[in-house]
Amino acid sequence: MDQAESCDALPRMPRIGEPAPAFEAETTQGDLRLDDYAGSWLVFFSHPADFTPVCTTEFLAFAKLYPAFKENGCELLGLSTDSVYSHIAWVRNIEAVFGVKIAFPIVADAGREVARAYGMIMPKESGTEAVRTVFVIDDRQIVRAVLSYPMTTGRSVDEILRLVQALRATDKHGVATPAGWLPGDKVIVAPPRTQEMAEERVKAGDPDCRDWYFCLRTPG
Amino acid sequence: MACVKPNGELTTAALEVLARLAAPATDQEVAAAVSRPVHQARAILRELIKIDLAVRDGDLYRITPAGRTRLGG
Repeated sequence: MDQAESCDALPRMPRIGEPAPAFEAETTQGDLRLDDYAGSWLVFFSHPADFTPVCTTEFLAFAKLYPAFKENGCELLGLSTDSVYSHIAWVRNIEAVFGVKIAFPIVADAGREVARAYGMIMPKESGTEAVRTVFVIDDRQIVRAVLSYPMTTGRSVDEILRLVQALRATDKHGVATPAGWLPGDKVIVAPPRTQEMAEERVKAGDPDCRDWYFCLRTPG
Repeated sequence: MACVKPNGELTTAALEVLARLAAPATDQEVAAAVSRPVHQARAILRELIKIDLAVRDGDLYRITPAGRTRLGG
């Protein structure tokens, strides 16, 4: 572990509801800024290292679902602390070995500036490599969800896509989504905030209301 | 810089964007015209501005005389 990179020395991880930290960085598609993505949702995710097996499986999964992310108004942006040359060699290798093209850019954060700003470095795991974090950033560049996984464990990209879909449904319909929600499933109606409203809801006898605080409805 | 090759020539993407700027356009219009994501269009436009081949005027981007020369050459 890099002794200079103690937990106390690192900026804190951006929190849900906060603006995503601005950055400009070299990527496999040239220099990109966070605000290049304004107006679009963004899944900004880190991986520990190129040419490693767990990371490769994740990139294959992200590539497979990239069209679905785009259909949901969401772009993908990867990051590791490897050089841009390593990234280029790795995506070329993925295409050659697996026949899969990585069409989204990958930040080459050799100086670890972006990774540290986003709390992607966790010194108890590694002082120099990012762990597997995911930031879901909305079209106003606000952090809407954060996931962190250890080096050992590949993420479920299906879940990340579902998360984007659920957040967009929340924004569109003003609702919450239950566990495991998928597009088309019923959504949660906000519970009443007064006794009177709670009683009215119970009296209404809606079959989708199990109790005054627990009501579902079809979205739309 | 992603828009300029080591030999000084503009990349295909940069040339396509520059050609679209023959008439002023927003970043969204440029992205649609060259069939690229908006984030890529914005990055290319930013680089073209840095090397004085394009200029930004509010929400619109325009080609400069130097840009016209570069396209024509």
